Amino acid sequence: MIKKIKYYVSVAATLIRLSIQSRLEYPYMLIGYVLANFIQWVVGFATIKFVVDSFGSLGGWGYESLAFLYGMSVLSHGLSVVLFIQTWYMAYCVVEGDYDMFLLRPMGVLFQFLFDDFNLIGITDIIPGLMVFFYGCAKVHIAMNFTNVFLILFILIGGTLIRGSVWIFCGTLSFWTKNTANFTDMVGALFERVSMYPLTIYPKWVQVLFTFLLPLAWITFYPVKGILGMEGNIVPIPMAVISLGVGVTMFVLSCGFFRIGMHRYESAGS
Amino acid sequence: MNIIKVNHLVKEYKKIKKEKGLKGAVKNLFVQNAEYIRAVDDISFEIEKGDIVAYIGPNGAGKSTTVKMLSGIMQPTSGEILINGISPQKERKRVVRNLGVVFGQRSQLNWNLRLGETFDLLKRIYQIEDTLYEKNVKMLDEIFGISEFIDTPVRQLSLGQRMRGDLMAAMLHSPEILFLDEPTIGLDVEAKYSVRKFIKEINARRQTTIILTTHDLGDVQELCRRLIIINDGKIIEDGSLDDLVDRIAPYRNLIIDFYHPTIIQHPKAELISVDEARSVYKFRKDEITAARLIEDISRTAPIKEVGLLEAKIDDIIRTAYHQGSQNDH
Repeated sequence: MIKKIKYYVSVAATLIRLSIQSRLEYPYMLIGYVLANFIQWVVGFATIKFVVDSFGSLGGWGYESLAFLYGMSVLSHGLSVVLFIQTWYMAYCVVEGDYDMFLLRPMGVLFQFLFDDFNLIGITDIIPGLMVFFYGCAKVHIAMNFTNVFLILFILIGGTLIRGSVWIFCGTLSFWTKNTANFTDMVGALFERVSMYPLTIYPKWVQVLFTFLLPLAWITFYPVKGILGMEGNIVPIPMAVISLGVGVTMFVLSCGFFRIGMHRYESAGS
Repeated sequence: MNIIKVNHLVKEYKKIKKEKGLKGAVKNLFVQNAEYIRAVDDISFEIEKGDIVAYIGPNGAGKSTTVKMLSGIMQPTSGEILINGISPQKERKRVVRNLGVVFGQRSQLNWNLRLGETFDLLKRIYQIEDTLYEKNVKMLDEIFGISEFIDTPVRQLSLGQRMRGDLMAAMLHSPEILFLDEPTIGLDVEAKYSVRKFIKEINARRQTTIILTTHDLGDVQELCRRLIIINDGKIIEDGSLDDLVDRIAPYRNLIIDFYHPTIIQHPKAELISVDEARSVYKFRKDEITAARLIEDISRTAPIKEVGLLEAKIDDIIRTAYHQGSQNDH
């Protein structure tokens, strides 16, 4: 078991190294993304500040907590883009028959696929994310003790997994549709709307939808609410732990769905 | 020992017929006009360890589909494949560990990076021991002379160099079986020579079993002891190239230039053309040898020059393809 983990880690590390090396072949692209993403998130945050300044609060949330929520959201977005960006192109890979190469190697297909294109450029999302996050931390005066650091890590991992799982799920649909058009943009907009603003600004049925059916509210809203000690915590365990649980569950489910898709691929060919 | 066994292999595709126009497009949403096409239609064969087998057929005959099923990329509709006694469909990872596969139209090399980086990755994926890896790289380099471009980014390699890189990548983990799908496609004469040399040497040194699909009959002539011809998903020929030639084209033409215009008949050869001093005889290889024929004729008239025309391999294969599809319909 340990040998197997070691093996997978060594291959993952090599794939990541090669991806980074590949990206560094085109350094100007990297600079372009740093600028574009930086501007995007700062303008986004300025919009929220403007709204709060005009109306006092957003869905019952004050400016400080919103800054923290926004920072957490951009961070897990950045992480998910680093780790899962290739899922945006799954439809393309299906049509082009790119999975053939992975099937010819003695390793899991999804594992190879996910690490094959580790996205260094996603880090350009993380930098502004960190800035807004620390700004938010300072505003809400969150204590950086042992528990909170862990809870924040849980939220980030859970959020990243939830986002990644939804992408894998949508990408896997292309094993059936075989169409290069995909839901990436739509899903991206959905993530942004649900994870950057408090869920309470939406009607009740939308809240129910994003809590249970498509649990995107667990990316940031519930766990951030929990960590900030806001009202409404009905279960005795921290919301951040539930977030992590939701993330892991969704990831396992999406991997299973990918397997089914892979069977379809193997029987249909490209 | 038979390293590959294929039993009644079938691959069916669903082909959906679309109706034309907007009206048709709307109708297509609700009514599917599905038609099943057998890309591979009940084929069986066995391949011995250490053999080089050409798997040929016209475009769309089912060659690539077969190779994909053999290498575990594709699930057959029915039938059984055993590679070293294991089914690639049931135990993909175990089977591919022992396979090298190269698709001529596609590369597994990392486009942006130096060739050596892909080798390093494969070393880890196949968990190749350092000593074995060094040994393999050295041996492959001896055959292939790859060290001159191992540090060049793959995107800057010529097609021939890229193909050499891909072949080498497929051999790093010393697989027992190599599937090559059109390995010489698009290559120039020099590069083709190099690929053929590689195939021969690998086979000789390692007893690697090699199956190659190709449209280049030069590959078949030079490399393969055995030939499997497939058309419309069915095997129509399976045997050695010589046997096939003997069967399909048992005739040879002998051209004789005499010193003076002459007409000489021979009981075992047909005189098919006479042009001044040049005569052309058609004869069956199994009835008389060329030497004997020349000897007989030279007794009657002095011969200045002789030439022997073999049937063209292209023509023979084309004939085989046609026969196959005629039997079918």
